[in-house]
Amino acid sequence: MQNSNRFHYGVVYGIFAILLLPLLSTALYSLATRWGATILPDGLTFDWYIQLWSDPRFLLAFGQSILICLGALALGTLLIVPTIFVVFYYFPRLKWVMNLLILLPFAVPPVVSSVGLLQIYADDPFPIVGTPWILIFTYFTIALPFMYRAIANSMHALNLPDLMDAAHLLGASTWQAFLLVVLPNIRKGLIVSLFLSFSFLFSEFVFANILVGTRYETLQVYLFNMRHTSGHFTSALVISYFMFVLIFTWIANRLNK
Amino acid sequence: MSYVEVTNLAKRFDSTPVFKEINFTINKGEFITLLGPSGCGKSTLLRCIAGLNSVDNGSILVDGEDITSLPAQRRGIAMVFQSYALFPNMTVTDNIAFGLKMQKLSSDEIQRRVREGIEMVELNGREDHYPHQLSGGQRQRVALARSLVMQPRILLLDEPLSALDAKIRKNLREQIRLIQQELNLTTIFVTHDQEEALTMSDRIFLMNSGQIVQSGSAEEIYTEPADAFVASFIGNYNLLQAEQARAMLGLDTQLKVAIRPESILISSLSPVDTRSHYSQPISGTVKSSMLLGNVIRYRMDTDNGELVVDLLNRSSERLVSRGTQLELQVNMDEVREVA
Repeated sequence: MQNSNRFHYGVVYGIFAILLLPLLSTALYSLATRWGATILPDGLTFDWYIQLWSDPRFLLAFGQSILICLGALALGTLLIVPTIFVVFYYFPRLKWVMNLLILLPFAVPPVVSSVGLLQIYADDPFPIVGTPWILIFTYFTIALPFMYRAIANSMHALNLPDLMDAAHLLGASTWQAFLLVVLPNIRKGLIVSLFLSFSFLFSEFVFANILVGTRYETLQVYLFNMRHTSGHFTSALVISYFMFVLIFTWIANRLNK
Repeated sequence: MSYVEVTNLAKRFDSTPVFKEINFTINKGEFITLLGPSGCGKSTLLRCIAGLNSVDNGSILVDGEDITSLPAQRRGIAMVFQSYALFPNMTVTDNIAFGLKMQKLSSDEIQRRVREGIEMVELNGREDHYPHQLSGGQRQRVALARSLVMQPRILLLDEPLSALDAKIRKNLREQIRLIQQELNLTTIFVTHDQEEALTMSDRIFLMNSGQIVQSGSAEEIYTEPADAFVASFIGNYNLLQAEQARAMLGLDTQLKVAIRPESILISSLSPVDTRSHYSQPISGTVKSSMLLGNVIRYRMDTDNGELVVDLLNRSSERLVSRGTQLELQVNMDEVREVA
């Protein structure tokens, strides 16, 4: 009993250590003054972080990433929440169609779909290639599967037909019932999916690079463009980015409990 | 004049009729039960009265007002669901207050009525609980209070007790009936449970395949079944084919015959009541016996088929073992010919 327990703990912590090791060394590297031919760095410093967080180009890319993610998530929410309500309440038989549709963004690899997106958005009526708009319109489609799943799960947990009937009989219009009864009950699922999608979109690189590139630099594209500068500097960038996403994911997990 | 008048009501789903030619009237303060097997159309009928489903034909009048095409919000009808349908994001108080807020009543009035509602269903101390913190019985009482505070013209109950366990079901059954009588509230109750129907109702409308096959008091429905369906649905009637009845009882009949299990006497065990008219002795063999508490139920094999016989459980020495030969006599006053 004792031995097998110890073995299990060993395996789990071993895997954890393997996964954590590159992250830890990156963190240490970002804090090192110089780390050349020695086992441990020569000295520790926050200079790389100070340098990074005072770089206007970094701050701009950071802000632009946040803006695009928020825009995409707002668009996604506005589209998917009413759609889910309509499908679940009025057309429950169409759920399978939704399940199929919602898988499509997964089915096509980003490199392939970006070619199509470039075609669509290059000319009229939507000449938005190279602008942040194309990323917003692309990102919300990537976020849809996550958002749909999470919200649909919350919706499944409700007895929607009976709740709507009860609200109607108590004098509420369908709109009031949606606002006062349905929305508060799917709020948790919605918020969790928003946080998770945010972390996910925040680290998106392929679309950002192909569709917009340096014309509207996001954090990932900035990181890519900085790859030839000091390794300490890019390490500080990676760790900063990682901590940001970690906090978001942690909040999402906390809300999910 | 009747308080509720339903005339020629009909409903189809696609081309299949759910019910048709439904006619009945209900007096103010009456407790009506729609009783029937699942799929007989009773729940759909209730939903049509509530305004949750549309009807294809006919009219519904409440207190002289035609509500047939009014939306559910404006009918002044409240409903309690089998699934409780409480709003999970709201406390007990907020659930009960929901309908009053929709009516835009003053907050004083809302508070007063919610307090009354909570007292009526005895949920004091649970005001700030959420539905998931309550037991099934408590949840259904919240749903009941939520309907009662609306002071509805009609209260509809759609199998409200079916999801509860036996003891709570009995308590709540009595509580609902008491409140209904106290408020003189016109109530329509849907169930497939004959015991609920018989114990709670002023009148029972028995439904089968989309039609009301018999309506009347519990006593009438129980003792005078209108047809073979009613006899087989209510109680545990012995239903004999015409030729069986002729052979067994010497009756001159072309119809099926219904005999209640408690109107058959085991003459070797109990004295014959001389005021009633009994059949010739029928000999039978005990096939099985079941103790139902206050009643012992025997299944007896006779030459002309099986009979179920109920005997009051007065003392244990009456419990007769399997295979015993006994003499039966049927109280002919209680034998009913049914179509």
